[in-house]
This record gives sequence, structure tokens and C-alpha cells, in this order.
Amino acid sequence: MMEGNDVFLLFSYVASAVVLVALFVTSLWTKKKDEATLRKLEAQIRDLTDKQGKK
Amino acid sequence: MHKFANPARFMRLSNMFLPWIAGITVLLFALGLYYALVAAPEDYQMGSTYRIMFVHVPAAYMAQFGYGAIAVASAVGFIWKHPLADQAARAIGPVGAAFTALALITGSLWGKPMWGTYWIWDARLTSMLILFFVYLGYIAVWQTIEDHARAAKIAAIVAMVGLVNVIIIKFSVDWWNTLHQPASLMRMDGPTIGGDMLAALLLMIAAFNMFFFTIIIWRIQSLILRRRIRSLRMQLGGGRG
Repeated sequence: MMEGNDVFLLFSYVASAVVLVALFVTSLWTKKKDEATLRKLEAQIRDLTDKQGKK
Repeated sequence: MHKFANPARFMRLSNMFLPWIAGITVLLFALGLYYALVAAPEDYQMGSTYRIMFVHVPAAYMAQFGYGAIAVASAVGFIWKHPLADQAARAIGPVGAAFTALALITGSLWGKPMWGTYWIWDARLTSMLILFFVYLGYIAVWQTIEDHARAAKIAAIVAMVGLVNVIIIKFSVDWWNTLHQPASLMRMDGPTIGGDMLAALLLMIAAFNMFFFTIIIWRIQSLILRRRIRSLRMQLGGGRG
């Protein structure tokens, strides 16, 4: 059973989990998104170089 | 130093070490939470509520550590004009702000049952709030100034000036009569807590530290990738972003 002050303890750990998970997800998601964008641009450059080579 | 701070080398080395750092982070959190919530005994005065310390102290420590790291990286970037140092400082900004916010939130949640109030304009609390605003100012410099070199220079000045506040935070409990308790870990005469409580606190600080490094590595990698994306877009003729 939770005692009166335990709610503050619970909220502290929940707040910590929310902040840490938010940092984790946003940082990883941003990195993955940037990697995908870079791969797409590199592919575009390769295609462009190939086309120019054929000409 | 320049040899080791090369962006390409950083990407290679960080990708090699990242799984290990992430693995150690998970292990430290598992151990730290076990000690914090199970092994550490109840406090004879505060009961279980004192366990807020195991997230509050690491968050406050990381808030100050992050700012110190920004100041060091900014100084390196400012003096040696190394782009990776600027990127590292920039990457730390939002993470440090998040840890400062967490320290303020958990501190106020601890303050209510202990002091009877969520907030008081105490020297330690006020200087931590100022740190949060300094972080926001630092982030704003990077967000609002488009020219990278100019943003790095102004951000470095903000970082070094703001360092004074970190020193004030550290000594606020000694210089002023505060409601916040004095340091119990980093003292000249050694920690005032021991046993499983000390083990839990040290494990949680270590876990927060390793988590911080994991996140910062990802964020620096992201900033390096964005520079590459910008240059490829210029090559393609778009010149965007």
C-alpha cells in the first residue's frame, strides 16, 4: 500500500523515466532520420554521376 | 588532439564503442534501481521519500557536469577553432537543459513532503533555475544564428560566462543560509552517507553519466551527418538546409 508521501516518490521516478525516454527516443530518431536522408542524397549523387558518365 | 577529434574518426570510433557504452548503461541502471528501491534501507526520518535522492542528485550532477562539458568544449572550439568541439558543445545543450529541468522537478517533489513547499527562493534552487535559463539561452543562440562560425563564437562566450553560475550552485549551500541541505557526497571530509545508500547513489550517478554519453554520441553523430547532408545538398544544387 502506498503511504501519503510515496506519491511524491512515484512521481519523481515517473518524471525521470519520461525525461530519459524522451531524450533516448528523440536522439535516436533524429540520428536515424539523418542517416536515411544522407543515404538518399548519396544515392541521388551516384545516379547523377552515372547519368553524366553515360553522356 | 586534432587528430583524435577528426569527425570521420569520431564516427568510426563512436560506432565501435557505442554498443558497449549502451550495454553498460542498461546494466548500471538495473543495478542502481535495485539498490535504490530495494537494497537501500528506509531513512529513519524521511522513510521511503528520501529515495527521490537517487534520481534527484544524479540529475542535478549531470546538469552541472553537462554545463562544465559545454564550457570546456566551447573553450577548445573558441581557441583551436575545432568544429567537432563546437558540435559537442551544441549537442550537450538540450540534454543538459533536460537534466536541469529534471533536477528542478524532482527537487520540488522532494521539497513538498520535506519542507512543506514545492518551491522556495533559496540560493541553491534559484541558482539551479538560473542554470536552466542559461541553458535555454545557449540553445537559443545556436537556433537563431544561421552562420555557424558566428553562432559558435557567441555560444562559446555565453557558455564561459554562464560557468560562474555553476560555481555559485556548488558553493551556494556554504555561502548562504539555505533550506537545501549541504553537500553529502562531494565533501573534503568524505561522504556523509554510507553502505547501500551510498552504493545506490554512486550506481545511479554512473548510470546517468553513461546514459548522458550515449545520448551525446548520437547527437554529435547527428550534427556531423547534417553537415554532410548540407554539403551534398549544395552539390546537388539545392543549397537547402
